Amino acid sequence: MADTNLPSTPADGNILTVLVPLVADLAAPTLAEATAMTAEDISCYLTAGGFALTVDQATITDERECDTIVRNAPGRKTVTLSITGIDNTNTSYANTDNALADALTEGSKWVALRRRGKAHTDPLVTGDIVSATSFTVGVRSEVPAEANSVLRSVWNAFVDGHEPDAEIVAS
Amino acid sequence: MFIRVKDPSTGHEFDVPEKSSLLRRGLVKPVNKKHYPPSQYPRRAKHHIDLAPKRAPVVAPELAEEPLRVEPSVDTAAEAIPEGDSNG
Repeated sequence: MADTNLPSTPADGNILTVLVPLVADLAAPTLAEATAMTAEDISCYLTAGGFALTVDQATITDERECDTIVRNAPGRKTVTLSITGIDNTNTSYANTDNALADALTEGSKWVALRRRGKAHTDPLVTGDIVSATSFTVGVRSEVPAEANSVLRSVWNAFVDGHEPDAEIVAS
Repeated sequence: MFIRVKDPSTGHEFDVPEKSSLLRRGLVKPVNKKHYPPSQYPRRAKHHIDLAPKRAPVVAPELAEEPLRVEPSVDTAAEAIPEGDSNG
């Protein structure tokens, strides 16, 4: 009888999200690009589920007179992204711990490299599989302040490239 | 306005907004403003890619040693069992 007790990996603490200003090849970011001085680890600024990336793929219908079924084919993909995270602007942490809000100035372009399945503290290494999403930052808006909450903001992002299975390659 | 900058760690050149944190923290260096004046829209990025040099370095090829050829002696040929005699 097959073993049904399949192992699984907790999501908590096992996601790393790094913003890099530019990569030459979205499908194969280099280790030098992913760990450059300009790369920003925003994992600890993102709230749970704060990296809301959705990919929707349309259907091409291809009907023929000879058929009794409607043929379907994969169509265009629409990738949307909104980023929700900690915003320490104007607080005493504004100069030291506000990397996310500092980085996401309106109009700036970034590539988000997101690795799942390894501890956040493990550095990126060659061979890691990441999703690479290139986007332009839109306007920032506040998350409505509620009782017992922290200050957060939402940034609209306009995606112009997405590679769900990019591999970190040697420089 | 967008400013053309160069990332010293990767060598890529790209445009960032004037208020970019990368500029403010000095992580990127503005490039020549004569060639790239501040622009209203971000321009196309210029990637720095490490490619192999166009001309390979001239190195003398190593001479491979030829394997020694051993001519089969007459005795060895005589000792060889002919096909079909294996049953004895």
